[in-house]
Amino acid sequence: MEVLIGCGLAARRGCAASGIAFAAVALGVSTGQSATAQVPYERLVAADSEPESWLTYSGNYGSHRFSRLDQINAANVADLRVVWAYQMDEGLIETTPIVADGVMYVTEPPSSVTALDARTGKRLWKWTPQMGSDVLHIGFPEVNRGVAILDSTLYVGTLDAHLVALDARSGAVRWDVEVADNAIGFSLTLAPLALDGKIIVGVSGAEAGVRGFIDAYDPDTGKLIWRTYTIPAPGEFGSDTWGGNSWETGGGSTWLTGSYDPELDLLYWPIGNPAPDWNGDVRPGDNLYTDCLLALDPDTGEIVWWFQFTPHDTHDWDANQIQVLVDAEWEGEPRKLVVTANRNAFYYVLDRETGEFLHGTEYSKQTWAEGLDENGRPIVIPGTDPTEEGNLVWPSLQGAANWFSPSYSPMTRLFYQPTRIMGAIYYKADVEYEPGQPFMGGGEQALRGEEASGAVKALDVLTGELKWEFPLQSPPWAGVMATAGNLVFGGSEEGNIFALDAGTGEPLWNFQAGAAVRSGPMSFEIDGQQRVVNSAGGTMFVFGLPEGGGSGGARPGSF
Amino acid sequence: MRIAQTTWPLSLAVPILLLLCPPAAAQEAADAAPELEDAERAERLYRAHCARCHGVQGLGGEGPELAQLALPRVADQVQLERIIRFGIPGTGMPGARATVLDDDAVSLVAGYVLWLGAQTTVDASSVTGDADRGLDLFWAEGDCASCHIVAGQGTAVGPELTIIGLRRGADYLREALSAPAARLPVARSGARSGFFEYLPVRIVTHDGDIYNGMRMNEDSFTIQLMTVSGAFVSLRKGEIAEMEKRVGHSLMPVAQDLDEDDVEDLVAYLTTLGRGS
Ligand code: HEC
Ligand code: HEC
Repeated sequence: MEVLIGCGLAARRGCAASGIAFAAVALGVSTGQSATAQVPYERLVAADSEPESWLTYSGNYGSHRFSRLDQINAANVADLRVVWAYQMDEGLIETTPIVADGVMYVTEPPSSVTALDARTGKRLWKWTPQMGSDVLHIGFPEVNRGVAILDSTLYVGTLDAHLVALDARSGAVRWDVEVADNAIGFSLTLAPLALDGKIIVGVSGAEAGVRGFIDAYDPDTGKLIWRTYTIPAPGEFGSDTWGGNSWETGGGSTWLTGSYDPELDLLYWPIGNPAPDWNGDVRPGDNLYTDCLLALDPDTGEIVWWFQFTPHDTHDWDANQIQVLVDAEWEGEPRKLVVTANRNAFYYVLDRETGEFLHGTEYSKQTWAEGLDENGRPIVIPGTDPTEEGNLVWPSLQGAANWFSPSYSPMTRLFYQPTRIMGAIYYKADVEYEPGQPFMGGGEQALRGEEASGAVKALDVLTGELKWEFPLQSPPWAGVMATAGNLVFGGSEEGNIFALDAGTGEPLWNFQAGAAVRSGPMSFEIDGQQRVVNSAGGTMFVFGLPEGGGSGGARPGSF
Repeated sequence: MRIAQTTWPLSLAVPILLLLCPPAAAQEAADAAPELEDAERAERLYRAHCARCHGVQGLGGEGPELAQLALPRVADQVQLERIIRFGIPGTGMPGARATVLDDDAVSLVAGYVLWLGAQTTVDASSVTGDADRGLDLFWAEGDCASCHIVAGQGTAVGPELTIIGLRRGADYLREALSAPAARLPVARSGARSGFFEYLPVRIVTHDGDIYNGMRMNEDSFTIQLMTVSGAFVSLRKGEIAEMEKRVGHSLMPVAQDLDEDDVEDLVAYLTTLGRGS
């Protein structure tokens, strides 16, 4: 029987529904595997040293989405099968679960948080925020990409733009703050990023003409520590890149989790498109810091450097892609790099100490730029802006890349990018800003079906050169994960959850899950067994090898 | 059949009826395209709220093609307005809250979507053939029913034609009969949206088996075919040595023995299908 626990504590917004299993967890009773989540900052920094866990959205601060587990490898991956599955609330699953100390913490659409026994899939508790029936989400579906964990607290952003701290053992609310006003289009869909003494979040809402920002909150109290706007106000640096009052509704949302370098103590955060999306006439100038990568001082929020991928964007090419931190030798010198496959179809290599542009190259079909100049600024081909009659340009507004995760394997030194190969006819229209209304100024007619396709591309991490590609029928919305087993896991719109050889792209395993895959894979280990997780349709699947790990970890004779 | 009972809003009665009228009147009515209430605002709302996923011309994108008369989930304007308001749970189709689109705006957008659909049958051409003779041709000499199902009768090699008159305009139907390979039907909704249906494929396996058929589905690892004789074939890509996707071909035979009049009569008959006349 399910009982309700913690409603009093949860106060005004939601409560955790908990089952019998809760008692064991809350009391810290040892049930073979400790169920107490204590994840101090030190564990987050050293995430690579405990591959049995998955402690942040992208697996580590460098956002590699690489698992150091190698039990599942080319020789046995064909035997993978479902160990357990979890059916979520209705909606699109774009989440990546976190696993710590035997418990999986996963979000369900639109903004619920659920704790599961990572061994058996049995639910421990579930928290659902009470949101009004008229929550706005303009330009994106009701999704959530996951939680952050710090010490024994989980942090989740909600569709109605709150940041909520939950007790990891029970799902009880510790605090709940409104990050921004949902009534004018703000939402939180990203997984927050936990740093030392700070929880960092960004917002969605550029399609409603918000003015974007990045926030840092005190993990214990929910107090705002700093806020950095992504659109400068008059008088601030970059304000001359906005004509008139256009900065007030300039967009620049911050809706995907950033990366962090603990040694340089720099936070890297990608910034979204300018608003209105397709009509650039009303916002003359480069429109800083839209479509930029910002490097910030995590203590103050001060912008240390910035790099703009798509100045004066008129195609909705947010830079909200995962920023991957790589240490490598560059022209004979060891160098700290940040690399990213941008939505605009170019792959970039930057120095992450200084923001210096080192290299860039086209990685997917594009027809809007002749290339990048020596500073990384695109050499735009005239006549590629949206028009009233429509203008066919590659890539489509969804981009060659998007929020779905790439992966970097330090073993192969390849950058794996799920790639959308798709053009669109872009239209421009007049638009006036009204609070809480779409503010886009046009639209697109994307090419589709036989005229579009996708691929998992393996790029040399330093040059962006294509090493291999695995073709997909449709442009994907699913992330990838490389592993020390020399595999790359991914998913397709056609419902395949699959594994490729990380060195060659050869397909090694395929599970038809029956619905499109829209999330990123992750991996963890329990009872000495490696697990691989991916979701399709409304179901999250946990895969493992047959030996010993099946039926919730029960071995023959243990029933 | 559910869709055959579709009731259309008043504003759309015009384009649908006109095709059943004598040709001269039809031409006149076609010139006077159906009036859209507050057309400019309706178009602006559609472009702002729907075009991102359904395309500016309603030809689809992230969402299915809306410029079609027989939308699978839409029996009438009320149902369409409900979809716009609440979305389709569990899919990528979002609902528009009242603060985004008020009731007035929802009904304008719904009218615009239905109008987009109506445009697909307001052909510049007129239907001149004899529908009764077309019916005889279809079920006898033309042998069309050996490959098509209409109202439960026939064999499914090609697409079901029970409501083809709602889905396609006369120009399209003419081309489908005289040059079937020119334009293969394209899936309008669901995961295969935008992909050719009935794409002829020729496959040779590593074992040397040869399969000729129409693709029913495909992913990066498997392909499903139906042969012209109706046999189902499932293959894994690893078994396949050669695969030719014969884009520009059709397994629908060009109606060699049919003259121009026959084609017009068949088009007239097909145009009635789904309209309950
Ligand atoms: C975020 C993308 C998105 C937006 C915006 C959007 N749609 Fe959709 N729509 C979809 C998708 C995806 C489907 C298909 C759902 C499925 O079948 O899986 C769909 C389905 C539909 C259907 C059902 C068609 C049928 O009968 O099967 C209708 C009608 C529709 N949309 C109308 C609209 C209208 C009108 C608007 C603007 C008010 C709109 N949509 C905005 C994505 C979108
Ligand atoms: C040997 C099987 C076969 C026969 C016989 C056949 N068809 Fe077809 N038909 C097909 C196939 C396959 C398609 C789909 C591929 C295409 O459109 O080329 C098709 C497509 C069509 C379409 C287009 C449907 C759409 O929505 O795009 C129409 C209309 C049509 N057939 C009418 C007829 C008529 C009328 C006859 C008789 C004169 C006929 N067919 C005889 C196989 C056949």
